[in-house]
Amino acid sequence: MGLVGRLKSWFLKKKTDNRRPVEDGLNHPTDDRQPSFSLVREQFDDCSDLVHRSYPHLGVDLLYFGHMVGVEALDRDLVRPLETSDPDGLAQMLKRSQFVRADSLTEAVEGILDGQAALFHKGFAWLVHVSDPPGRGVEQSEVEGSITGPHDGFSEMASINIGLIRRRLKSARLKAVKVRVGELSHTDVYVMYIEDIANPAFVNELLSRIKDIETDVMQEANALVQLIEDHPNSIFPQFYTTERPDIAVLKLSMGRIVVIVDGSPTVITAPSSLMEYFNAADDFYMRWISATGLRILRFIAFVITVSFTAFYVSVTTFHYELIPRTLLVNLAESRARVPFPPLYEALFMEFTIEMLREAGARLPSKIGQTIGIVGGIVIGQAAVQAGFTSNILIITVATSAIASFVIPSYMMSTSLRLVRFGLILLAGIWGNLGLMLGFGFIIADLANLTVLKSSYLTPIAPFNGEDLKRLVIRGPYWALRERTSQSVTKNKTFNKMKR
Amino acid sequence: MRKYLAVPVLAFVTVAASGCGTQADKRVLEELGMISVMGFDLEEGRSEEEVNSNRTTVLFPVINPRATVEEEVLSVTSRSNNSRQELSRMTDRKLVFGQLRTAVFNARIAENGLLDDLDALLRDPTLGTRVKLALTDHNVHDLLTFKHPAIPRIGRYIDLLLEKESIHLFLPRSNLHTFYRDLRDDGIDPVIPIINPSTDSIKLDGIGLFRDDRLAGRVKAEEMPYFVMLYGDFRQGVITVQVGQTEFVTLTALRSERDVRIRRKAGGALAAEIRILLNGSVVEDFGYKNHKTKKSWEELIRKINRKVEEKCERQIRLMQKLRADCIGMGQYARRLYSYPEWKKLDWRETFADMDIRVKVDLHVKDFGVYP
Amino acid sequence: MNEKLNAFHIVILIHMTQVGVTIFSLPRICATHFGTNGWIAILPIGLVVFANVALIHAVVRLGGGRSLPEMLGLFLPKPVYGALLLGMSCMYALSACLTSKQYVLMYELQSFPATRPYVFRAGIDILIFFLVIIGIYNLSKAVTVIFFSTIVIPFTLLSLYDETELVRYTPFFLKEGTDFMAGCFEVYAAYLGFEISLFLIPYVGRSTRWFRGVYVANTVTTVVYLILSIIAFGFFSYGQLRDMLYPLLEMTGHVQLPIIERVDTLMFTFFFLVALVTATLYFWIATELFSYVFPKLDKRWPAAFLITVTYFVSSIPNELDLVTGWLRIMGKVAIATAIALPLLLIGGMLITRARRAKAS
Repeated sequence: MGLVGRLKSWFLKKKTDNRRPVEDGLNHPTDDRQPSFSLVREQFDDCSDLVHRSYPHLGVDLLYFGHMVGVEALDRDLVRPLETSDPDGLAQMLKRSQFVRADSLTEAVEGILDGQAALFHKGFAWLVHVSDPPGRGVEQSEVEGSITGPHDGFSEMASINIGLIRRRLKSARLKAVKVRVGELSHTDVYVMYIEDIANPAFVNELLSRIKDIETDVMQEANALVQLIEDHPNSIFPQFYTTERPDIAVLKLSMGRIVVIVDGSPTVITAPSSLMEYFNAADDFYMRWISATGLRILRFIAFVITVSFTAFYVSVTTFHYELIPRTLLVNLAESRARVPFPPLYEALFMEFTIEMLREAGARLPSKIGQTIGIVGGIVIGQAAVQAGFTSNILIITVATSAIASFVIPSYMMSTSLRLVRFGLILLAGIWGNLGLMLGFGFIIADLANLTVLKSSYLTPIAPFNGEDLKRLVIRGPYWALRERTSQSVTKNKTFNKMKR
Repeated sequence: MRKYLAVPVLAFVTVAASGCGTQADKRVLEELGMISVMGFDLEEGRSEEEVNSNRTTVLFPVINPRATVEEEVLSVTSRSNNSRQELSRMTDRKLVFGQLRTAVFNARIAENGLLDDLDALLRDPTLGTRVKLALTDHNVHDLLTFKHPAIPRIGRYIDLLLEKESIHLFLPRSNLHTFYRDLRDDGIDPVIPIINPSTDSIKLDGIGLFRDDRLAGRVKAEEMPYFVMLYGDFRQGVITVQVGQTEFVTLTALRSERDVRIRRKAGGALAAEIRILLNGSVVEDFGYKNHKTKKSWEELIRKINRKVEEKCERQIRLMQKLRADCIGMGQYARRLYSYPEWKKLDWRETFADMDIRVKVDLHVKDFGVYP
Repeated sequence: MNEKLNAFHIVILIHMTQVGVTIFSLPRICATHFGTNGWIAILPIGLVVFANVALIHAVVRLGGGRSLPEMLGLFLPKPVYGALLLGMSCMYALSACLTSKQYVLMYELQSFPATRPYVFRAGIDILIFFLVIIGIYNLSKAVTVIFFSTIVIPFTLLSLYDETELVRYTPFFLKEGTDFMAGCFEVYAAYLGFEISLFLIPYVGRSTRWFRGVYVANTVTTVVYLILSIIAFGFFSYGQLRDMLYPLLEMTGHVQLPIIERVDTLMFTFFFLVALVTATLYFWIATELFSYVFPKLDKRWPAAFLITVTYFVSSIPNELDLVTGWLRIMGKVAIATAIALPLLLIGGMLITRARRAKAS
């Protein structure tokens, strides 16, 4: 591009992008040759985990991955019948519905990779569905616990996950569209939604974005999210993730779209709004007054975790006049022993806590707990005694850390950790005005965020009174009558009770 | 676009992070001398040519866990009231005024007019106008260096004394805001409490009555409740009234509400009646003569009413003599005149000639648990 | 943006633009220029503002959904209205910059007396830049959030009700005021912000009733100004009000919260977001005007250009008095624009209509 062209592209408005999505996620051309045994076998050269069984009296060869197939199913559907049958019986067997003809080489290869067994006879190939890949069963989610409510959590197998949802939403209108993502991983991604509740525009948009993904390996839902977001550079998470089927089902009924990625126990819902990240699973099962109280606690915790330490820094550095008289001398004396200015003291303590947190996450749980206690109590105490920090700062930092755990969404609380550091820096150089400036930047970022083109800040802006009842406070069930407005659904009312 | 903005923003951040720009204003907490009380004395000029100068004393808590003293007192003499420059040379702390709570003036300064001396306090935006004001008859420097084992921190003591009194007992709140407000209102004159050291403490010793910004007279300590009943509504008080030769009644939890009625008499003079509604509990009846009947209690109450009325009227006469309308009668009188009339009127003289009566109505909630 | 603004957004947007730093000196202005019980003058001036808003409403109706440059283009040649728009753009940008500078200087009065304002202003200008380029719809979302966060501030002042005394108001009305016209201009300037409605035309939804939001916003602003001034007049004595520079700021200092001293500095810090909104919206107007003249230019460049240039221009007055003086002048220019522009548009469009009627 010449200089003029480059200048033009800098200064003038950008034209919008009008690409059409590819049909499926995968882009490689299909190989249409007839799948004969030797051809297929050739594809899997040097894969010593491929099992080959032959039945020469029938002229049948079996190819499958031993670890991907279910042994009982294999036995029942293939091995035993093959052992006991004769050539005529074979022809009969091959007509059964379990045996699907593979018409192209690609199909056969993909079938074997999927865990199916391939049967080769007279130059043709049939695939038998006996796959049972290794994986965990249904266990409680570690990250999202709850006190009341169901405890089953999603596992890494998409089929189990879909099953956990389907058994709670027994409706044919619950659709599951399958997309394959990833050249090498061929990951199954299922987009689930309830047909006449979810907004079709959102569904299509989501589907087209997923199909647009060109990558080689897709393993985790959170990785998928970053490839389909509107704003990948923002601090805040834009798609709500959960490991609990009951939450997923609730979101589906509200008109959201759920995306399940095979291999990931995390499930994504779209679109989402900021308030959702403060909803815990338990909120919906408790009485509404208690739930609202807890919700308010979480909002206060949000404010505390983000700004408390920063406020301490700005007050002790610039705004001494805000300190109440009774606290004044205590605070000053406790700071008097510390050799650093408050900004560095706070950064040092926060950094230490972050290291403790990361270390705790890496260590096996038995050691991790001990380190947590040791780090928290002993190091904190010792630091104060050595004169490294003041005890009021320890309280501040500890309260901040505890408050950050109150936020139910792990993604959100991780983002907030970064925000906290930014605010501490701003408070340390510019005092309270810096703190406000930081808030201004946060508000600007939040206002700019859109999820699938719908606003992230609903229901505050655009203002929707109905949604406030569910998202900001938890209104009583007799008052919650409509689905959330962000889903932009025509099917709004869900609670038709008279009372 | 965000990419291209990153460079200047980063540059800016690194520069700003070094604190450049706000370095000068860093006031790190433990390096500060946060002055809590400030006092002004008058030093007479030694000869006729020398102008009077002021002695400024400041008091701030010491932030050193190893120090033996709780507070540090610095004192400096200069012509103006702003001796910050010299004071800051006398200490290792950075002197700041943001936590200033009280300013004490020697009564003689107040007699010569307080407005000039308040100028420094009013102009400084870091002070806030809730700085309390107090007067003292003694040397302010001595007051602030008063040593007593039960009072480790004079600054806090004075602050709490004034604060407690104004909430719980009879003392009108007096700070920069109220002083300036009443000064600039042509219908009322300001007041400032007086504190004085005594042998074993610093006590509240009366209220200073001002005519404009000059101290004109004072209300004695024992008379304070009666002045305050005339001043406004109060919620918590204690008075002891002598009702007979040897009988004294003490009322607590006293709530007083005042109601001012003014009218113009024929001939232009003004007459006023201040009705005071008192509500309290009798907590002591010293030397009581066996009040068993309802009539005798009513007689007692009538006597109390009369006694209180007498005392209140005495305060009014004092103010009229001083030509200092500290209870705000002018604010009510304003209503009776048109604007040009009011401007022509010499309110102080009119106030001095006014006929003001006090009517007290006491309601006793209970007489204690002893008959 | 494919999203449209609705009436609720517009109310909050315009109200927040109108309320700026001037609210802190409003009672003093009323006391000095209008005299005793001067707060009462807020009402008639509010009515005049209403008339001005009605003028703009007429423009919108006559224009039939056309945006500002389209309306101007009907009867003025492009170079003429181009110059007009560019001039207006510079004026609004300068006003915005001076408003933020006044806030910074006032803030520094209390907490940062030794710092030079360029430091803070740079940071604030970066924030304003980000806010301006995210588009008016997102901007209104941010403003809504700010509205709900700062709505508590005026309510805290209501708690000072028991320190007001009826007698302090004096029974005299409007005596001892000086320089009546100057006072009118200043109070009128406090209402400025409604003219942004002219620039919102391309962004509102189908419904023609969106303009009601502007009237509602103006009413809310009037009520807020009135109540706060009334309380101020009862809290301070008349003579005192004339002397204090920022009476509402003083008043906030008397609110007592259990755990924090000096609430006034804290309140003023929270007020930053409100002042930010005013400055940002004016910059947004300036950017819009610029892009009317150069439509193909990506919006971020005029925004950056305007913000940088005004940053340097407004570095000239570096003292609070000077800045207040400049703002007074800019206020008068803005008032003139707010009145003259709709009149011009109405006149122009009526003439165009008449011409068309004659031609057909």
